[in-house]
Amino acid sequence: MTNLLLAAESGGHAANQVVETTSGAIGLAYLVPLVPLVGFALVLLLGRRLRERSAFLATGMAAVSFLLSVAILFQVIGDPAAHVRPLFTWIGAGDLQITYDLYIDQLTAVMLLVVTGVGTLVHVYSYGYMYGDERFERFFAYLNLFLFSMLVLVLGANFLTLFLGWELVGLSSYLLIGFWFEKREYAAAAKKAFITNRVGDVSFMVAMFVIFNLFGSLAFTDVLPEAGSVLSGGQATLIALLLMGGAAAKSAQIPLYVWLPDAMAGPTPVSALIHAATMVTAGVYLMVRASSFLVLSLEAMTIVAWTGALTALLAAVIAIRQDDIKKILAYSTVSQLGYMFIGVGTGGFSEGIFHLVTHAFFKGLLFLAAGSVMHAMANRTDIWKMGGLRKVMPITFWTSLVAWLAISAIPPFSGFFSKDQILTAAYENGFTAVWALGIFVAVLTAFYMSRWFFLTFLGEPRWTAGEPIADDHGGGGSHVPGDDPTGDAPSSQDAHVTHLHPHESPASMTVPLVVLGVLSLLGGALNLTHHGPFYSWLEPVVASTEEVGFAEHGALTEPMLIVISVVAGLLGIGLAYLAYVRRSLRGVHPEVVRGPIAELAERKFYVDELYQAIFVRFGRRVADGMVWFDRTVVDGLVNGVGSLSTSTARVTRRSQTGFARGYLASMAVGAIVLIAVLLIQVR
Amino acid sequence: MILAQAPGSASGMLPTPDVAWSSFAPELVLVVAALLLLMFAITEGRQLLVAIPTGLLAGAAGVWLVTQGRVAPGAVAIALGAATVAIVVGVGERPPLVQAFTAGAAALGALVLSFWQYVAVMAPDGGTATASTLLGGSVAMDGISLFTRITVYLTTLLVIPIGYGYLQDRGVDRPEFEPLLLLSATGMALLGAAADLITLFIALEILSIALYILCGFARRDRRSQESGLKYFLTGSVASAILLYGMALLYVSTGTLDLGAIGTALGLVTTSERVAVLGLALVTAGIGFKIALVPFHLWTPDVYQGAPTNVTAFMAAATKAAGFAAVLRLYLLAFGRLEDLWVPIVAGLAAVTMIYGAVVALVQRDVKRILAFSSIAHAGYATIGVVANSDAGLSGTLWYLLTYAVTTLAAFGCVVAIERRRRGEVALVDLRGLGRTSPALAGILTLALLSLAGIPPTAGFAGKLVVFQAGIAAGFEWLVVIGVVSSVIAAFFYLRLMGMMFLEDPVEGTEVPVVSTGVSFGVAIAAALVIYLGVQPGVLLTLADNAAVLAR
Repeated sequence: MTNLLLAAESGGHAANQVVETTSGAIGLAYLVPLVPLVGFALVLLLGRRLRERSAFLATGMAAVSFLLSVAILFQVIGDPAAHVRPLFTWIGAGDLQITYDLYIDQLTAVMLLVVTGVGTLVHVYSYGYMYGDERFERFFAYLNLFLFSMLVLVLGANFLTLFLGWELVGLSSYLLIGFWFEKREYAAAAKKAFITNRVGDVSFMVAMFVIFNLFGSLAFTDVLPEAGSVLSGGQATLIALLLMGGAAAKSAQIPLYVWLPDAMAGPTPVSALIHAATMVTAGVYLMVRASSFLVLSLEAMTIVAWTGALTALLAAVIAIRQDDIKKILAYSTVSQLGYMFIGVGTGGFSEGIFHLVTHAFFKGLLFLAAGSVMHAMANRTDIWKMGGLRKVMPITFWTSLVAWLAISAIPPFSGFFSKDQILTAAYENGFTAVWALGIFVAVLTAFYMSRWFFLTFLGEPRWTAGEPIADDHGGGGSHVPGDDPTGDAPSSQDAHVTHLHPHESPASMTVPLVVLGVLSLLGGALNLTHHGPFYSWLEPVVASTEEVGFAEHGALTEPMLIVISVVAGLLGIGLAYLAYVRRSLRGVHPEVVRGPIAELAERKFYVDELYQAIFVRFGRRVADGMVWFDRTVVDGLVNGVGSLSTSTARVTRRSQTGFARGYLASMAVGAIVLIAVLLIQVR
Repeated sequence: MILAQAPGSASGMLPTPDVAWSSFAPELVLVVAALLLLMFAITEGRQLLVAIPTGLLAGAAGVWLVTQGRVAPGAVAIALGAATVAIVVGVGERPPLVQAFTAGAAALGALVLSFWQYVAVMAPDGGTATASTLLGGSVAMDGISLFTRITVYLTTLLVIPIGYGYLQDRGVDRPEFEPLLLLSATGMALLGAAADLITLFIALEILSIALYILCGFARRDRRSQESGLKYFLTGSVASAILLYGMALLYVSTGTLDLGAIGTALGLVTTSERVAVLGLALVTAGIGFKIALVPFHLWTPDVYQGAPTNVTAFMAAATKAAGFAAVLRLYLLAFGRLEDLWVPIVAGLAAVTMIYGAVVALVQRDVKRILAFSSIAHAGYATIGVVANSDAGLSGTLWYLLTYAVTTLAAFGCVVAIERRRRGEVALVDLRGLGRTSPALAGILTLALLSLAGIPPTAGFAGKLVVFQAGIAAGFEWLVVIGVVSSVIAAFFYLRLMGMMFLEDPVEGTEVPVVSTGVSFGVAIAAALVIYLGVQPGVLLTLADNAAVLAR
């Protein structure tokens, strides 16, 4: 009944009812983040004793979290509402009352599944990939910590608890990216990720200040339903853009995307976890959660949409000329995140989340496959030195094939449905230019991903078995043969000998590949048509876009849009086939994309150098100035005061003669002066 | 009046004077205890001869009080009587211990009775206290007397265990020490309660004369002799000046009662010139007791030379009592002359704060450093006086309590260090203390942090309240000077900490002696430093409620 009334009020848009729930799986929801936290603590404490068994402990914890999430999903399906699970009052200071509640609705359930599901697979995969690393246990501890952080983030019932998880994610990503901190550039990459994210955090914090100032609360249940009645257009734009600033850092959008490609320094499972399933999705999640602010301001939405489109374009162009197997995937992640922001900015909130889910499947798969390849190729990452791996590692090849077709948006693979629906939403809401750009980027995406796929797996091998290799692995001293005291190392161990012997990876690595492969293939079934079941499932969570005032859309109908995006994908693949497969059949392997723009793309448009020049050098100047100021002025002042005091003291202490007569004289003089002063005043 | 049960007066028999025993019950306990201790000293070896009758008498008096409905004082009397016998029976073969325990029990009893005074007499309904003057207007029962009693008795209670082993080490554990200490404490408490000039002066002399002797107590030590003699010489002169000032006040107003003086000073018939002369001389005389510049010069010499436990007692308790007299004199008697004294006292406070902090910078002796620090703290406490308001009144009372527990903790640590060094404790003697005896160094650090006013210590809570009162009264400049002085002072407190923790211990340095008594006293003081810093609420509310003056 209430539901119907609410629906009537919001013009046919069904909004969630807020219910306080302490029973069922939702009553136990606090265990979802708590279990990995316990795992983190246990592995950290007992890691030395558990050794490689700590992987089972950590993986078990992740799996428990996943099963709980599934239970929660079923409860939300049975009782679709915004469930609030109250836990305790976190901060109580006058007007500022922050309770620590968990907030579980349809969106949360989706995020929980993605995070714990892909997270668990990454745990399983890491057992094989990290085997023999000297800090093997610690890696699993960090993985658990990361999972905990991300779950705190998605379960937060107000902006501050969300921010708590937000910061924890920043910390744990720093630990994971810099896992092989012995190498200077890896440590630097971790630092870069952390600092870039801090920039976004500031923006997020300011947004929270503004929200608290205007609403007097930070709880979603207080703020989000009231957004329309409390805020003026300008205030909504401000909040939306400040939140966007925070999201742009976590989700790697222009201008804060620079940390993500460098973050490949971490072990490959970390890339899969951070760049597919967890950290980078946080920004998209935040924007969708805060969609009530976005729909109040067309300007903000336009800015978000264009940021996404330009990010997608820039990253796709750069990806075309990268040669590192992981770097290509990194830029493709940035590009795909751009699509998600296009979705958010053009009113396709559910579509954005849908793409987030399918992307988690196929991008997680791609990274894990890349890891499997690196594992086989003794950590070689240059795709020009690969080729022909199809026969050597069939499972990796077939699963990669699925992922490649999914990201290239070829039906019926999952990526096609989600990407196409985002572009459809953009077109139907009047963002024709953004749509056109999106189609162009789709061509580029299909092209560079095909290049990645063809050069890695097809053609003749550009390596010879048994050739001696320099171990260019990141971990100084890690993966050393014979590191394993038990002596019964799995087959993964022989990847690290000094001669190249490509081989298929162990089962702990291939099983996650297969699972993700199936999901990438079938994930589209969640929402086969544009307004399918997934769309209606999320509809009560996201804000209605009816009041935004989008421009009229063009004449193209939905079937025509679908055809165009299929053609775009095929076009990209076809071009890549001509460029890389046909030519390699003739035994020629030069790079076909040449010219000044390609050079620019290879140099990543000199963005890093630009930032270096602007921020780092400028910052150093400012810091130097500060140091000078501190040394001369502040220290000078302090030392001056100090020496002044000391010299004053040297003079004054002479009054302390030790003779009682002097003391008495002082008293007498003091009394006389007092008398004189007082008598002068009364006269 | 309160305890005046005069059943005979109604039936036309001899008129019995009304004596409000409750108004000086704690002091009564102390005086009786002091006499008892002297008796113990005389009857060495046969102390039970004294203890049993005293115990019986106290018990009988207690029972009588209980039947009269005065349950709490009766219980205290019975407990003290029983304690006397128990102590003599228990540790009778060690006379010094008997003395210390008896004196401690008396101080504890006095402390309990002080709280009883507040609960049963001043604020029987809870909340804000009502003030009254008793004994013909010579003794006041108000916030000043209450807080002075609490501070003084607490100090006495803690100083006894701290000094017990120290006196033995220096070979000066003679039986007159505790009686003198108790008498001095009695004088201080009376000074806090004195509501007329005569009582005030007598109380001042009781406390001073006992202290003169205590300062020279280590009579074979030249520095102790010097300390006692200097204190005596300068103190007598100060008393003379104070007495002269009081005489002039009497001349101009014709009354000895402080409240009446306050009223009379506003009248046109009163000679202002004579009154102002009196004000000037009283300021000089009382400024000596609380060590305001330029009447402070005795402080470093006396503090350095006196036995360290006496120094601790002086710094904590004498200061509190002196300020009690200052508050009563200026807020009550000189209330109408505020235009004259406020700027002058403010000036004295400013000079005192700066002087104390600056000169401490170049000192090498730890006791001397703490002496200068006490001068600076007198300046901070004076800010509350200058504020001339209820907030200032309660602020100063509160500040003195926090300073007392802090300085007790600090001097207690010095006692422990000094017991090995036999004499001076120089700055370099603290080297590496953090390594050789970390607990002691930790507590000393806590005390120093509190002296510097760093949260969450008592010193911070104290400074905060006083500075707030100062700002509320419009003395921003004075508070700024106070803060600057704190910054300068922080330097030498930090230097002490640096010595303890950052430098290596000198070879062959002996580890300080931490006996049970010292640990007991210092630990309680340190716990109070933290408690008052973290939970100032309870006593601060009491200080606010007690901010009433008996007029």
